[in-house]
Amino acid sequence: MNYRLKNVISHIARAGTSSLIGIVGIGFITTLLTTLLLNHSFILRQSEFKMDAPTLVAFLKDTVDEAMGRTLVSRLEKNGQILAVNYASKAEKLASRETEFQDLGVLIKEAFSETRGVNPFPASLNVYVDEELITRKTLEHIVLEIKAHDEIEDILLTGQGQLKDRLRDSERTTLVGIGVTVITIWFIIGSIIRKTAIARTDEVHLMKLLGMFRRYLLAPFIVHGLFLGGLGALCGLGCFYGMLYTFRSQLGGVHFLTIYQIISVIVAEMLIGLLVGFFTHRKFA
Amino acid sequence: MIQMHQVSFSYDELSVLEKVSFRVERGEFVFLVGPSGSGKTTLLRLLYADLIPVGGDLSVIGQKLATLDKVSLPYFRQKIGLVFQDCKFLADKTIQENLALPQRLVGMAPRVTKENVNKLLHQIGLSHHRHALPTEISGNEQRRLAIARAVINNPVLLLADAPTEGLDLRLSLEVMALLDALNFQGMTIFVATSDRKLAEKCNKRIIELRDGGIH
Repeated sequence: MNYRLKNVISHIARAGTSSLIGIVGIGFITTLLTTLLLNHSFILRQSEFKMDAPTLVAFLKDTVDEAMGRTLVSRLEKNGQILAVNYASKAEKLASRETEFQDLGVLIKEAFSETRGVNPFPASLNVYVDEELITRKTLEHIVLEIKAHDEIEDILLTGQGQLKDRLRDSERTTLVGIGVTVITIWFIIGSIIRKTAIARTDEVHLMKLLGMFRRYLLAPFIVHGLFLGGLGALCGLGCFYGMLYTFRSQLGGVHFLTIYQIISVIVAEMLIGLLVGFFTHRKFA
Repeated sequence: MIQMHQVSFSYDELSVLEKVSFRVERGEFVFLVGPSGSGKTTLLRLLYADLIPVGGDLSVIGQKLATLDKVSLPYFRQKIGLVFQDCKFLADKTIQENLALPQRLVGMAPRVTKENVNKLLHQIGLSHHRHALPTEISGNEQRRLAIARAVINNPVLLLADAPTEGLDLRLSLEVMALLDALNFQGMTIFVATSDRKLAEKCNKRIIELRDGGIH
């Protein structure tokens, strides 16, 4: 067997069971990280699906004509938190519903013809709130403010506001999760590689006395780091996939991470291993 | 080859060497004798830059050790053959792997390394033990292996720390004959030993280290 390869294998073998425990530890952390990533991706997908939807729809009373409606639009737009307000007249709503629901639209129209005339759809205002400002509190505040106008009959929250809020929360949590993961994996791999380096102290000292170049030991340290990072990531992803598969009926339409996310997780953890291996080598060799 | 001028060394408060001065010329065979604890090993460690003197000038193979940096240190050590008092082998590697180590460290081609290892194993009579571990051979064989490892890269200077320690007179003389043969080929040999009688028997130049100074 090639001597360099043997040297690398013997270096990794020095860590013994520590490597195994380390891989399990990294796997556990990776499982937690992938859970956060999956949650974030799920919310992101939902948010993208409703990307063009207004934050809320304010329905106008039938007594409000188009001129009054448009006046209300300009009054609402003065609110700094509201990005835009689109007025949709009764006629426009009817046309859009007929296009959207076809036969069902006609049925709805006929069903309400007695109570609400030939067009049962109310005029409405599509209100878009600045995404950066959307929180539960600001949304509540805006709803109350709009409801205070006499022209408004009812308000419907489309869910886009809450989604944006959740998306921001999950972004923060995922970022913290990534930070904690990086630190923990760095610590785990660093401890194992340091342990191996300490176990080889006499050997390394002898090799230094015999004229070893520092780069001679670089490969074992780096391969050890890559090995721990890569195998830990695979172990974590495997566990996560197993859990997802086991609970697939309870989770419904939740999909596994995308191939890019999987590759990113593996590459990132291997990169951490590489860096830890490099810095530990600089310290010990 | 070795120039030591007013070199001093101490471990914390304990002074081991005080203003030691001597010269060893190229191709010489020199014994450094002195009782146990006199500082022979310390002096050798200074010569291969494992320790840094607290004072004085030290030059080995034309290299001033005070100016040696991390980059040039491996190149410097590759020119020196070292035989350690405790032999220092890699315990989990076979005899042929231990012998090949210095060649691998300098990046010698595997084919050349294999040839050199076979040749040296044959010369020191350890061919039949090539797959054994260092702990599985006798003390005399370990000494011969340590010398073979020290010379496999053809160094210009061989520093040997008590290479006959624990051997009887006959085996000690065998080891000395091996070193003499290397010296005959032009290698400078510097041997530290506490066995003054052996040094006198070999009829070589003797430097005596006592009470931290040369006498």
